[in-house]
Amino acid sequence: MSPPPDITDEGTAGPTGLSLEAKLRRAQRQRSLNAFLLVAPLLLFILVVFAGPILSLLYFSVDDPKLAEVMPRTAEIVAEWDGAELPGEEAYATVVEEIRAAYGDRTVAAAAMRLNYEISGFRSMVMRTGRKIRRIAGPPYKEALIGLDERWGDITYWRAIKASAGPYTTRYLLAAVDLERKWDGSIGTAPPERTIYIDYLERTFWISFWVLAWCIAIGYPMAYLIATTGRRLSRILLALVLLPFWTSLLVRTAAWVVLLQNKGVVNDFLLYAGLSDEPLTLIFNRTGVYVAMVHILLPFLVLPLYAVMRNIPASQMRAAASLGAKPVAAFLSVYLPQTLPGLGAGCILVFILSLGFYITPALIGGASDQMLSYLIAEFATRTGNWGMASAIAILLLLSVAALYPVYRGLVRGAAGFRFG
Amino acid sequence: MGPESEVLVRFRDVEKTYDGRVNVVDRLDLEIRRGEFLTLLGPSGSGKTTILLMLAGFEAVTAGDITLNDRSLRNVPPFRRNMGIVFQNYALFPHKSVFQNVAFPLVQRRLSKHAVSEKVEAALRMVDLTGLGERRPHQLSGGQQQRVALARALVFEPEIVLMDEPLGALDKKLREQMQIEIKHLHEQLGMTVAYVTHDQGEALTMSDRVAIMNDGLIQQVGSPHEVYEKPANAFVANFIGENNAFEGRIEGSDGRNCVVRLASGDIIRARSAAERANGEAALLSLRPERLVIGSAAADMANRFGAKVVEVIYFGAHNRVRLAMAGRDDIIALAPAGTAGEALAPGAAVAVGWAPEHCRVLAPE
Repeated sequence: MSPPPDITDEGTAGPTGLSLEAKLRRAQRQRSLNAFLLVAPLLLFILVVFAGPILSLLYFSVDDPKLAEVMPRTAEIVAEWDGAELPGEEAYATVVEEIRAAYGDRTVAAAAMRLNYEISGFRSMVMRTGRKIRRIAGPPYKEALIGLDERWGDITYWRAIKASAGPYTTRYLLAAVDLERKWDGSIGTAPPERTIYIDYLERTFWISFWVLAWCIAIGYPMAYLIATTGRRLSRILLALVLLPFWTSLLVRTAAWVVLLQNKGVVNDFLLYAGLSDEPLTLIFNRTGVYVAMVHILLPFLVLPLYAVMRNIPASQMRAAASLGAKPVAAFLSVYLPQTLPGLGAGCILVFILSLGFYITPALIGGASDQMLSYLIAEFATRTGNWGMASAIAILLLLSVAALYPVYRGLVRGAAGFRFG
Repeated sequence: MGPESEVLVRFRDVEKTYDGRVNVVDRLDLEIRRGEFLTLLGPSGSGKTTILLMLAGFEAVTAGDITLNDRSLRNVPPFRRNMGIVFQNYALFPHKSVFQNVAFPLVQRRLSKHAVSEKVEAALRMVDLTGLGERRPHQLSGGQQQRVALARALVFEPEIVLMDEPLGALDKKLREQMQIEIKHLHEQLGMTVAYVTHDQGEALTMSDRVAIMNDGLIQQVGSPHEVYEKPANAFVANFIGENNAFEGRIEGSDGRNCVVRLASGDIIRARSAAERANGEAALLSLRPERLVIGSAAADMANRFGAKVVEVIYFGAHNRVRLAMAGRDDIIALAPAGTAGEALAPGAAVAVGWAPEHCRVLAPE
């Protein structure tokens, strides 16, 4: 690096003519450049594999090119149409012409699929129109098309075409929160058969909340035991906590299926021990989902807690007792506050991870135990509706982002006393 | 406080074992008198901290009993024992301010807000921390943290204050300053202190009485002067201060005054606390500062010719290693300004000491 040109001769100027301040600045600049070069590969990696997919996710959720690709002139015409009453002859003529062409080169299905998102049944209507389009010989196209299928005379279908005209749409994002844009541009509640997403969101939060509650109830005493017991026992317990990490999530979940099913190990034991007269339904319901998720997520709560608890000397509780604090008071006023940073970190980890759970509820839960990720997978892999999949993924991402300030608050609030 | 004051804490035949085989504290009979400063002194692993933990209620007594004001502490949990404890690492609550730390025992006792703040302010003033109440412990220096711990242990006027090597983490200068401050606090407040340390200087400076521990057993209990000048056995003699030890046999004794013949054939006159029979093996203990070098040795009852082996300069005194009586590891302290000051290795000198400064002990 060349020396900065603005060399001043302030009081601290050294023999080289550079002021101390300038020398310091130069050294610091060199250091930050070195630091940047060191992290550059990582930064690039994150941009490529993390920021990239997220940005394309954002894009997919508003991207709407299908109709305009297949029927470009129709898209242009309906975009200019005000939607108040049926469009004119020109629109009908263009539709006939473009469906004819698209049916011929087999691209019409993609457009029909997109229209079907707006009104179910639109797809078969377009396909049938395509099959019969040969019968339309010439104008007037409006009567001819309505003659093929009278729904071409229903303005709601034309509004659906207008809504699909692209190239960008808000329908997926709105649908993800149970809203839709009406034909006049206003935003309102979606029809009841489509208002399922907020339910899923609520259920996702609710399940995550209970998983977290169970994790705290089981994990806090566990971490305490590991942190305070003798070295041998604590090593064994820690290994047991870490053991689940050594097997894949899928294997662990499958193992729970084996354990929890009606003729599984747990039920066999309950029947054998006489604790129950008939097999309990432990799988394909909420109970099974909680059991498996708590098991899988417990280490994420225990480990940060353990790390914090290990650094709280035993003399803290002894001091509290010697100063007259009963065990419960000593715990609440001395021990618990010091574990808050670890507890906060663990809680956020568990909660955020459980928000995104897919495999476990899919394999162990019933129809009413599925979470948002299930919808994403459903849209992405089964129906190929990437717009909807992206929109729900964004909903999930925003839910997680909303939790970040909570986490910051917890950690900052509790970290004020760290030993420097 | 004189020895006639009433007994506050009494250990009766207390034993403690962790593994069921070895007693870390054995046959402990000890009294702590009201208002005294009693120090448990011993090397690490001697059981002194265990005694403090049992007194505080953090460790159960395996056998025997501890009483406070003649009432057994057996079933009294730590939080009802009313003992202030200063821990080695201070155990200040890092998430509470200095004020909240000191207020903690008072809040637990449900004192009124007004009384709490009054007592805390007084306690902080006492340890010279006025105005630092809002700080967090980690913003204080080691010495200041030590004072907070002290204020917290004293503010609720406990029956007894227990201190477990409280100055161990401080540097030498600060440690010596805190020793004096704690001693002054003890004198002002008249509290009872049980103090654990492995630092003999600390024990001698601060204590009314010192109990010297080794291997779970009390070796000697007495005033600092007693344990230093009249060690009860070889362990005490070696553990406290520097010691020149001579082995020999009793040749003559009238009860207190003994004549001891060393293996080299030399004769030493010494004093004994107990009756010694002729022919008995004996261990002699002589403090280096009692060994006089030069012409002053001429009229001493024990006189020897010695050769200087090594001289180490310590400023206020020289530490002189001498060869005499068939040995070459006899240490003498020659204060600046005495005949010992200008010695050089190889010089022949006269040395001597009075019989009352040489103790006859049973061999280890």
